[in-house]
Amino acid sequence: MSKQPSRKGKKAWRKNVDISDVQSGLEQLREEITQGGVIKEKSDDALFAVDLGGDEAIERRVAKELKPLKSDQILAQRSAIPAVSSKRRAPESATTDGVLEQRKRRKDGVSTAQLQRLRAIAYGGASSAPTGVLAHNTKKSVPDYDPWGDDAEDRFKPKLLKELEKLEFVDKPLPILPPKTLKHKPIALAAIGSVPAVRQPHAGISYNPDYDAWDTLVKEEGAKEVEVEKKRLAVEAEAARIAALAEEPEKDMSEEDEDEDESSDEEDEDADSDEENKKPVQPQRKTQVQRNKEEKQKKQEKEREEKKKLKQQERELMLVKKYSKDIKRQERERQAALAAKAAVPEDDEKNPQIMLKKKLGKIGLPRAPLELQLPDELADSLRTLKPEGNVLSDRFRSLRERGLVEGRTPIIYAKKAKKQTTEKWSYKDFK
Amino acid sequence: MAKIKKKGTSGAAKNFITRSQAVRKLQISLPDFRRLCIFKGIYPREPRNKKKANNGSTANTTFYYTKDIQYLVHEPVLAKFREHKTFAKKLSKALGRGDYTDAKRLEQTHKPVVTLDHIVKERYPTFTDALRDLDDALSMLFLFANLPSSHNLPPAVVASCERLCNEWQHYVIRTNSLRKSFLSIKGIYYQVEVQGQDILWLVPYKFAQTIPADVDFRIMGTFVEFYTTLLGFVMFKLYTNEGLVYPPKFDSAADARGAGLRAFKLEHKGIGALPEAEAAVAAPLKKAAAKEAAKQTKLLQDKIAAITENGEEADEEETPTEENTDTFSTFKPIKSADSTVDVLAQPQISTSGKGTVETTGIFSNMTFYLSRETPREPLEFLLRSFGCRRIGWDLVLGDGSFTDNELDPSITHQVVDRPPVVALPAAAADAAPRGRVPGRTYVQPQYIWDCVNAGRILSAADYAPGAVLPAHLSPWVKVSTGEYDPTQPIAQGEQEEESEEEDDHGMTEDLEEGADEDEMDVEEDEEDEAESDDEEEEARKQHQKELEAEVAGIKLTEEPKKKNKKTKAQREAEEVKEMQKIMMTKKKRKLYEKMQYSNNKKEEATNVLRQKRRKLEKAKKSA
Repeated sequence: MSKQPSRKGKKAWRKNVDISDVQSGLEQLREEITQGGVIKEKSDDALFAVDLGGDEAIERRVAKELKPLKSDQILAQRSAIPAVSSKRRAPESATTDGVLEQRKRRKDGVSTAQLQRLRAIAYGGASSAPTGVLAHNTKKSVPDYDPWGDDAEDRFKPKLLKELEKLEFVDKPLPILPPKTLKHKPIALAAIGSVPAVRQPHAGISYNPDYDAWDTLVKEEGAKEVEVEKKRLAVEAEAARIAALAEEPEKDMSEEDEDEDESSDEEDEDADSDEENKKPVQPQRKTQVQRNKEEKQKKQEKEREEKKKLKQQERELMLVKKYSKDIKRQERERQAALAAKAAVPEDDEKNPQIMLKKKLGKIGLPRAPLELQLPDELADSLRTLKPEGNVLSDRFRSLRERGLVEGRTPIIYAKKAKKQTTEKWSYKDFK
Repeated sequence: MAKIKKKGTSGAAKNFITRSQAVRKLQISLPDFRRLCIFKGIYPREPRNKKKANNGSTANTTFYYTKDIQYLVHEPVLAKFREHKTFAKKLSKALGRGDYTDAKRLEQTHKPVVTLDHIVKERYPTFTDALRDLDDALSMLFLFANLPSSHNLPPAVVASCERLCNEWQHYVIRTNSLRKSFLSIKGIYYQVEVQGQDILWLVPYKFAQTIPADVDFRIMGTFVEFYTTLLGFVMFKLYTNEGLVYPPKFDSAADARGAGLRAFKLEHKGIGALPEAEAAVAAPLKKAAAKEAAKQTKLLQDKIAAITENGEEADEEETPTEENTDTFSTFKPIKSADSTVDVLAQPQISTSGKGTVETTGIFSNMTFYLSRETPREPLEFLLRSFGCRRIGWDLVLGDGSFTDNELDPSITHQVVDRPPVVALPAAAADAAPRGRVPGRTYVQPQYIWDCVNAGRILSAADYAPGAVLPAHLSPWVKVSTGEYDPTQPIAQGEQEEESEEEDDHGMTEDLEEGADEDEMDVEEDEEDEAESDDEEEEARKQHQKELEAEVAGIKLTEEPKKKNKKTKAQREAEEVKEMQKIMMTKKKRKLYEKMQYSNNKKEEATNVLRQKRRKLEKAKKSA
């Protein structure tokens, strides 16, 4: 027991009274409230219960073996008093319908969201997807007539034409007919000239494929890959060869050139000296005998020539048949070569594989992505299947394969004009 | 002297126009031009000589037909684009002034709206043309219906795609026009037949779509816009032809709860909503009630006629649906020789006028339950397309299920796709929902696809949960005659004869006919050798018998040598063929030999496969 201090005087009385028992009592009361209510106020039923449970000793033994963590114990403590909500509520009503409150409207009755949309329309152009001319109004997009019906023709006529048709005394304007070129098929990028909109799938891309089909697909794709790799290696080797050539030190060409020049000069000089030594040859007179002989020889020569010619002509006449045959053969060969040039390679019509190198637009069609699963990727059931390839890129590629759109590199970051900084001439004033 | 021709006024120079020239001519922006070209079906072209078409320049540009571009000048959509330009100017002026109410008013009253209806009619003059182009449209819309919305893709577009896709599926279910389906690693392929046109489309798997950077969303979006309009009209026409109200009633609350197909209710024109069961029935009621009565009397007459004249075929083309329902009531168990096929009593479905066996109602007398790990949408579509009326599924898979109680006694089949539970205690299996319910067939999802492609109910034993599944074959790969077909069971009687059987792959034709053509038939040299061996054996046996008879003192009765005689006849024919072979030119003979060689190889491979299968089946039987 501590010694009671003096309580003489009002000040001392106030200061030195020990109220710790009151405080602890209050503390206990608060704790009791948090633990479910004041014990004194509770009825006996709430406080006491007939123990119908098992032996506590067993529980204790179990508890000893599996002692709960301290952290779990702390977390397990719960206050009976509900926590104060941190959610902000509208002042009028304590409950809400769960829908988030809308932003405050602007002064003139246009919300910021609306304003944003208006800005997009005004500055985005007619083709900006969400705001363009073609609004995706669900009510509008549900048709209520048959465009292939009998009465549909009238719908598509422009108003002016309809009015004109009523007036009998006015010449009808000529109808605007679509050109024949509009019906031309687009230029497909397959060697056989057409690509179906949806390619028929190869049997090997089944999620649970037949071994043979899968094997053929793997082999085909593998062969293609090997081809590509070979090409890449060849290009690399060529690049390496060129690089090696470029690194080799150049030979000194100037000395050799000089030598060659000297030797050629000498030769030229020799030739000149020979020409100077030559003398013009004087023609000698021919005797009559010589002349006669020459004439005779000429005559004989002529006769021989004529005979030969005649024989040749005869032979040619005989050979006309053969020649005509030859010409025919040549013609046939030429045609065959032409046909071979224009020939369409054999390919699956439903799933063409041989694509052209031709390009529509500035960039060519890249290689088709490899859609194939290797043995370790193949799923054993539909649940574990990991889809291969992307249908979105597949559809986009299909548009290009069929020649419906041109190829073009996507502009992800648009070029911005460079900022130029200049100094004003007035800066001189401050110098 | 002839008149001097000015350069660039005729030929390729006049027929082709470059893209930038076209844009300048039409006075619109490049993106607008692209859109317009996609809507109108104007494609880039390739002049034979680029230099001639482009004023001597060889720069890489896109060309169009000048006439096409000239035709675009008259396009109402182009006029709308211009109107939009003026409207945008007014709007930006109002916004710049800070006059927001005026801007709002302008948007509500002055914004030009374009419709593509006339373009649909122009590009597809007949309905069949439109159906032919539906492959692309459906693939695109099904893809967009499964994409997450983003700033490129407003949710309204996704919703409209989803709506159209569901309407299309309802049509397919109602008309039983689904023919084939294929689970690929890329997505699910479906093929339907509508008015004689085969339509193939691809649906991606759920939640598998990542959006690659190199895909131009503006172009794709433009195609989707056009295809939305096109498919809307096609659906209207198809629904109206079917006697249904378009658009079908859409329950947005049910859709929000994930009802999918069940959020739509088809309605008859003039009659009102179809009862739920009937809406999903395999055999649709095509005409109004008054017509039906008349039809049934006609049907009766037809039947009487069929009975009296057995040889004549009753005209079933007119009344296929009623015929089906009639045959439903009279079951006849099918006796099949197949060892693997379930002998499940199936309604005999009459053949349609085209001669193809209709297999539209193969699931009609089954009740399915889909476990929560199975893909609900494709399974529901497939099952309902093939006549299944009662499909239940776990609540996780969405609303609109026939039953969400897994223990419902009416369920006959359950589709599961989870690894088998390791040895459940017997008592728990009876009560717990995780265990098997007795009297119910458990199958993996592939079972449904394989049944649909086979056109009949297959044995469920191969598709039991945990079993190693048979390969999922592509329905488009056709096995040529004589080749090994893994889907066909090997008949019992065939087994022994098979190895000896002469199979010429449908190439037997008289040489005399094929002599002047490249086609030639096949005969087997090996066969010949084998036969001669047989004969020797026969002769030896005969001799042995004679000896035995002599010892016993009995006169041997002469056995008719049927087999020998036959082979003799065959031999003669072969000799004739051999002679003809000698008479052939060298080129033709070589070709013939090549063919023979490849055919023999094929047959060997086929025999090996057949033998393998026979062994497997034997092992299975003994086990």
